[in-house]
Amino acid sequence: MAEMLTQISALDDMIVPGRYGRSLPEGPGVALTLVHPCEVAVVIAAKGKARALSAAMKKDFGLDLPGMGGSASARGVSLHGTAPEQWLAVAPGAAAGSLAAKLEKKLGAMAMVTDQSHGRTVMRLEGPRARDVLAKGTAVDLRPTTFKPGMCAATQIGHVGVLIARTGADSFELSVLRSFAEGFWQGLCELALEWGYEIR
Amino acid sequence: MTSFRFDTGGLIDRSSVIDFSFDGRTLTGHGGDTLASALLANGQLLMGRSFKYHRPRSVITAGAAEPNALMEIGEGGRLEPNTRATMQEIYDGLVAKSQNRWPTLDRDFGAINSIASSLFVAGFYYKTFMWPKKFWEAIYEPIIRRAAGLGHLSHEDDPDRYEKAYAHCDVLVVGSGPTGLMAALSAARSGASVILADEHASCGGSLLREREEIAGQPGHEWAAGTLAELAAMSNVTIMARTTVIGAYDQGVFGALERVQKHVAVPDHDVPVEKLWRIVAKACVMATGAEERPIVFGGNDRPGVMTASAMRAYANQYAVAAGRSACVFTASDSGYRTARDMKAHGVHVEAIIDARSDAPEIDTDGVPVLTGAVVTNVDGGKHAMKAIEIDRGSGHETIPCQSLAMSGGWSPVVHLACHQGARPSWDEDAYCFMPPLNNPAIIPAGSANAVWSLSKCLADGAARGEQAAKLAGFKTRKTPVPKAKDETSHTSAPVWWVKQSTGKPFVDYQNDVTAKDLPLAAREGYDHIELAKRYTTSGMATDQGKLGNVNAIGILADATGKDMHEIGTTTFRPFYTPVSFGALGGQHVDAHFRPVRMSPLHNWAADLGAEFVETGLWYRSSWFPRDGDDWLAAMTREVLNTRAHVGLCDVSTLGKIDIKGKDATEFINRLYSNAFAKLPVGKARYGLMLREDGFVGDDGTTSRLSENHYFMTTTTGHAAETMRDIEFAHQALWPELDVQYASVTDQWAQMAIAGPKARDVLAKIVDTDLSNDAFGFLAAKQVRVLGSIPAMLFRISFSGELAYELAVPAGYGEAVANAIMHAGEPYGIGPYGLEALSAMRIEKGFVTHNEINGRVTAGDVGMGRMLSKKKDYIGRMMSERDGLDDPDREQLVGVKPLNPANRFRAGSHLVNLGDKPSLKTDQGYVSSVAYSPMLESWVGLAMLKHGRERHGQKVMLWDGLRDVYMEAEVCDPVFFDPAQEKAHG
Repeated sequence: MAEMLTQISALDDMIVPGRYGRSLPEGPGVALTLVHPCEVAVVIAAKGKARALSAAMKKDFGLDLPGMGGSASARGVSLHGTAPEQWLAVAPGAAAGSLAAKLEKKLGAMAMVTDQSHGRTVMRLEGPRARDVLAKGTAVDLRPTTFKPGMCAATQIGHVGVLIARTGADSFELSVLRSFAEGFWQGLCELALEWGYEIR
Repeated sequence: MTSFRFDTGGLIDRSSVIDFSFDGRTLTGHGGDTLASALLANGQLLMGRSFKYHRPRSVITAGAAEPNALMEIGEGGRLEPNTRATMQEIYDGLVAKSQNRWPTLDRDFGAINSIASSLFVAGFYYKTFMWPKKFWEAIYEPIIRRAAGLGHLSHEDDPDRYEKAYAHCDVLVVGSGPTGLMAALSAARSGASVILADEHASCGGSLLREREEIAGQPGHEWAAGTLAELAAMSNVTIMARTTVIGAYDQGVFGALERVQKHVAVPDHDVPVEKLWRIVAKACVMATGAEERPIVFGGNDRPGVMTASAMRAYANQYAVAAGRSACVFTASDSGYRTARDMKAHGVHVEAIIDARSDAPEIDTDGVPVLTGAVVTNVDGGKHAMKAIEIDRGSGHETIPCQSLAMSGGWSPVVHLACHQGARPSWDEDAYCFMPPLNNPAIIPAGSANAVWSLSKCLADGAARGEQAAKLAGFKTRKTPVPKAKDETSHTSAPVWWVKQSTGKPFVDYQNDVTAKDLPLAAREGYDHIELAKRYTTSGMATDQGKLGNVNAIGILADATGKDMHEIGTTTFRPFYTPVSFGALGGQHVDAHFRPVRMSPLHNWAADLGAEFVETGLWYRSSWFPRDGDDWLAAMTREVLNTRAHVGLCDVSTLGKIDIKGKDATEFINRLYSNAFAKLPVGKARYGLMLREDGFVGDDGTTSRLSENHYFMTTTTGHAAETMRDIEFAHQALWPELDVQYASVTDQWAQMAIAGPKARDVLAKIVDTDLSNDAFGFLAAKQVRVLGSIPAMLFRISFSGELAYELAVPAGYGEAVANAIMHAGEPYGIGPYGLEALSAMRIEKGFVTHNEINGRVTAGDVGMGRMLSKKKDYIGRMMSERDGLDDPDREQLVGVKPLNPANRFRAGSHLVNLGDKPSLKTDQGYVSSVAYSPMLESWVGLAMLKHGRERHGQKVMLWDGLRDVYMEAEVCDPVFFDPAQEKAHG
């Protein structure tokens, strides 16, 4: 019993790779991927410590601390500004428990670090129709001129809170609370039926 | 059967032949036909029966305003009533049925109403069906409703999918006629992102329906070229079949896209309709103008239609209502119809121009009778025969098979009015002009009373530039193509041909006649909003798009007021009807609202749990065995837990991680009881008040280290408590250095309760669980199964020796299974929400059943948890007079005298001998459970002076089930009042 258990994702029995929905000549409109395991932590600056935190992030993680609605990535860690002086750190595939522990160690009293690796479910939505699929759910203006790669937005899709981060021209990272993940995933799949989707 | 298809012409695809059915008869049409044009092509002039008099009706328009040609389209769950035949494209296999007739459209029994029509004037129902009073609901209304129906619903589930979506653009152009196309072009050339929406299947608006030329080309060809240019621009989105249905605040527009309402079998992967919310910085309202009918005798007879509709049917669809036509006009539009119909080979008998000062227009030999009016129409269900006219020298008859009418034009102003502004009457243009309150909604072209084609093209270009500029773009002047102007003088309207000998209709859909409006005025309903309700003019699916302005004119005439004084009724979204399917969008069935799943859901499901919805959560409620019911299962679970040990999923509790140098101070201000001196490693039960001094929520908070706390809230109030905490920090005490994050989803939490709980946990937790090392209310970060980081709390909601263990959610199932495995020798069993609830009621612990927003801490026996030594949220207001009134209801237990008598929460308590009433009411039962330990139904209740009344008998009254039951008041703690078990 000494070895670490396997972390079960909220979508454990839902991910069945394959092609679904309408079959169009140009291929599936989007691809959906569960990012699991994925280390996630909430980082909130201690009072008056934002500047010091910024320096520490740069020094220890190579990250330029983004403002609210901005994202930064370096060395396998992404940081999304979700609220004033509040960030969601995401590190796909990192060792269990490692992200929050490292952040806590390096940031010390500069910030509160809370492990959310089990509390958030992270997924990737990419493809030529990714924007159109999301536009069925969120009021956020996703046009590439206004919502550029490196930007993120905390919003709702189907009454479920979701953080959308644009990772590329046609790719988005979505994170939702674990308890909502199953219904959210199913809902997202239905919104993609129109252009066909692939689960990877 | 006078209506027919021309041999040539029209923008239809004669090579595609489409079969459809109407009232069971198979007919054919062509690609590009609407249901209305295809019916006309098949000689089917009769399309429906009117609402009240069941008069035979045909189309009056060729567009969105159609009041008469309403049909049921589709079958089974796809059946859609009240569909306008003028907007419905035909497709192979389309099934259309006429409405509001019995037994058939041709022989409609209800037409008998028409004979008695002098009785059925406005207000008839109100006046006639008043007595006896109770007859209205039982007899009159059902009969009237059956007689005056529109379409029917199938009552079957709609098999199709609907979706909602958002779109964002700089400039939204509504309408793709000449104005809209030029507006889209000029806005798009500035670089602005443009959405061009049009309600019809093909874009082009009036250019598809008229014969005027632009830049030397037929108008429709110029439109096609311009649309191709727009389609090729990456910043332009063209949305056909999309009706912009409403204008809302902050530049939000609603739009309904009919994605698959024109296909035989919808692709299930694609929604049939999409409800768009379009956010635009500026909107060009190029919605055009509606041609007004003239109110004269027989103006509803099949074969009578607006002059522009007659042109549209001829030019776009190559159909006509008859081989010969007359034109009755008070505007120049009638002359264009005469010209076009003549060109199509329809014999135009005469133009009857109501204007005595009619302009000289070349009619190519068609006689013009000026200063004349049509007073009646002679015709049947299937054909028109003649019209009766009056030139001031008695009535004359002119034989003809169809009649075009034009009373002038009304700009389609709806979108400019949806935010509350009203249009104003323009004395020169003789129409209601769109209000300009919202500078981002820019009326253009004929929607702004710009009447000629060349002026509309120029206005469109200018308004498009204006919109792009407003959206922040630099514009250049867009060249405007040359067009030959059609004749378009404006003249004073003719509201009502008073010398009519037939019935003159103002509102076709509601069978409102011209004399109904003066009647309304005479009876005191002379305000336009009252007149609308009294006469029903302007109601139902078309909302008076055709009739309202005439109604206002007639009312002005009757009251001696001017048009401006009368004004219009309120314009509200939606512009045209929207299906409930579209409004529901994707949020139906399983997606009606979000579902929250516990990380232990599968663990419970594997053990056969029945689940119950609590808020959004699905919680394991009871674990049936051998087919036993909830009561048997709950009883077994309670007895097993109290005798041995049980495991319960409590992951749904709200959990908040709180850190920071001022965390202690922060928490101390949130709770009403003292938290400043909570030692590290200890949990404490805490009470939170609302600002108004009543109890808000409760829970436990544990101090894990000097500046690190772990707070739990109730399941139901987790979000509210988090919100209150955010507010307290951001607005009340921003000076505090504290940080907090919801960790509800991060942790799977389980209660392990029962005398053997310690023995079971000891097998998987790496810490000393003895009473000395880990006593009641201890809290600690531990490791389970050797390596899993966890939090362990010695807290009890069951009254047993109990622990709550939190592990990262992704390990929850494995840890729960490990506990069940370790507990097997001790007789462990799962227990659900029912057992949890029964045990907490046995112990007299409160939940939101008791702290329901109306109780104080004192009411539930927690008065001493209101600290006198500190300030906290709700303190001041909790000291208000009345909140410590001795007459307040207090928490007690209740037991029926017969323990087997089940009673229900919500029952009221009265003194023995009293009849239940507001005056005699003594309180109510808040929670009820069957207590396996007491072998009795027991309850918690709020009772006046309750604490003084233990041992007294009261009457328990369940008004819903009409049950009276004697019960004894007792202490709310039914079981183990000395708390020995929890401390064991």
